[in-house]
Amino acid sequence: MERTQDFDVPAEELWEAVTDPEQMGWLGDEITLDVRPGGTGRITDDGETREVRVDTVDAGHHLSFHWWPEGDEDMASRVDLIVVPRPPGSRLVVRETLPDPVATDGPAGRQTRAAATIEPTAWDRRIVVLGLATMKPLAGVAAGSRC
Amino acid sequence: MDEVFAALADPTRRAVLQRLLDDGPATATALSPSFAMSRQAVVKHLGVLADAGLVTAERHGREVRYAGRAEPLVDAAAWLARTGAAWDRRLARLSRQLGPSAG
Repeated sequence: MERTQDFDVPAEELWEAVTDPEQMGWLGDEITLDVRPGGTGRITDDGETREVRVDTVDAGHHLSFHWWPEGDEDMASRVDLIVVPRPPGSRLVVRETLPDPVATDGPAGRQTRAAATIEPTAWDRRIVVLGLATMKPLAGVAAGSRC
Repeated sequence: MDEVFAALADPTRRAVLQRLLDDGPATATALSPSFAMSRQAVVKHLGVLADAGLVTAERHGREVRYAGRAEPLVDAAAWLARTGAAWDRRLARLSRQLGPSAG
């Protein structure tokens, strides 16, 4: 899954909004996070609380973390937040990598999920189109949804 | 999820999966005429689909019958829709936070 959004603020300000816990309220109603590699925390958004573990912090450019529903680390997905300067403004690219539903629950499964980097945009569309074309009862996916 | 995407990368495999989901389980022998390829080629494609959890294989006597599974696709599509909607909401909040009226 990928989303891109442009902002009228400089990249440095966007980076602060992405990595300063006091400014990260847009991610969820409640957030505590140690924004350093290996740092942990919690984010509650729309009634769901996730545990978070930070992977990489490339100052000014890229924050990545894994997060998962409380107590359910096997369902972890990876989030990449990438700040791109576009003077006079900036751009945020968000990627969330799908957990592998077919992978085993063991270490091999977790490794598979950790290693999987998907080129998301083309596959989002293909998966949804195939789903709509193939599966008769496919509840909850709007035909016009932009993925 | 890598295996699901890799399995679906090939248009023949997509067509084989669609056929199994539409018309029900079939043997490789029964499938190959429709796809103008050898039974072995069909078996190879079915193997890739099976690795991705999109097809199961069951032995019936001396034959193997393949059945399509929609769950990995449905799961993926549902996850994408939910996750996309969640990020749309978050980015809308970020826009308000960083908008022209913000300090």
